[in-house]
Amino acid sequence: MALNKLKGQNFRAFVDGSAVPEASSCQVTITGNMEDAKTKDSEGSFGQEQMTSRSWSVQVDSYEATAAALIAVVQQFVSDEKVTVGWDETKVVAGSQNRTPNNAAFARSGQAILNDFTIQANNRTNIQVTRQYMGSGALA
Amino acid sequence: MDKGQHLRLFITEGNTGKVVAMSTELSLHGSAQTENSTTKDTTDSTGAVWDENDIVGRTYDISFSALIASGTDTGGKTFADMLASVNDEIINWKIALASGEQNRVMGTVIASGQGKLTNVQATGQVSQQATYSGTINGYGPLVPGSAS
Repeated sequence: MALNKLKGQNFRAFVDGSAVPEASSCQVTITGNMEDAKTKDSEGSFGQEQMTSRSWSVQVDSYEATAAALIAVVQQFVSDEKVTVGWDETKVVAGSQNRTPNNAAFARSGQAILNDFTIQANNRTNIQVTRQYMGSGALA
Repeated sequence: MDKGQHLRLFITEGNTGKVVAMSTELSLHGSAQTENSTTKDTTDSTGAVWDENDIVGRTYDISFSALIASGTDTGGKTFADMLASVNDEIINWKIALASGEQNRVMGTVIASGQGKLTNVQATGQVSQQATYSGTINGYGPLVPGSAS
């Protein structure tokens, strides 16, 4: 089966099962945390890095800017509750606002904390919200 | 969707709030300090190790920019007012939707709290408006507003 190229607007971040509304971009990062395990037994000068753990994060930018949405961002930041964050391809469903997940092979989700946010409100521009979620535990 | 000009910073005293006059930019930034709390128990069903993180502290700050104007403004906070606030005293603030005359009528509060104005920087450059920017470091809790 041939692969189909995916447009950026169809690669979306999801929080607690729902696509982040009015999102303009998202960035997913998975990092293997490495440690150089080179010993005196190692021959040559090059390192021998070993993966000790994995971590992940999701950043999403949006124009989500109603009062309720902005308050929700602040509430989520001050809450100690973790949320389910993930990403997926969206599929075309009429009237769905491009928010219907397609259960793509690359879709993943896990528990995360909102560890950084910015609400930017400049004159004569749309209010922009940037959220960064730090994963806590495994991606599934 | 609300526009940037309708989200404004108010410095509050008691039940009254004075908007930062002639402001152009506003940013609320929160950051959580996290600690990697992974233990030897931490593996997924495949035995893979994923970092677990927990929040151990939070900070936030507010940045704003405004034009510098001469004269007085009884209904708003001017550059002169803000200059006088650069000290160790706690100020009360609210970020709220604004409307009405001069876009200064406070509406739904998005967030509020206390802070200290720790930095004011002014710029006067030929062929440009004189501007200043400021930073309020949050002091204590960041309080979400409540949607009406």
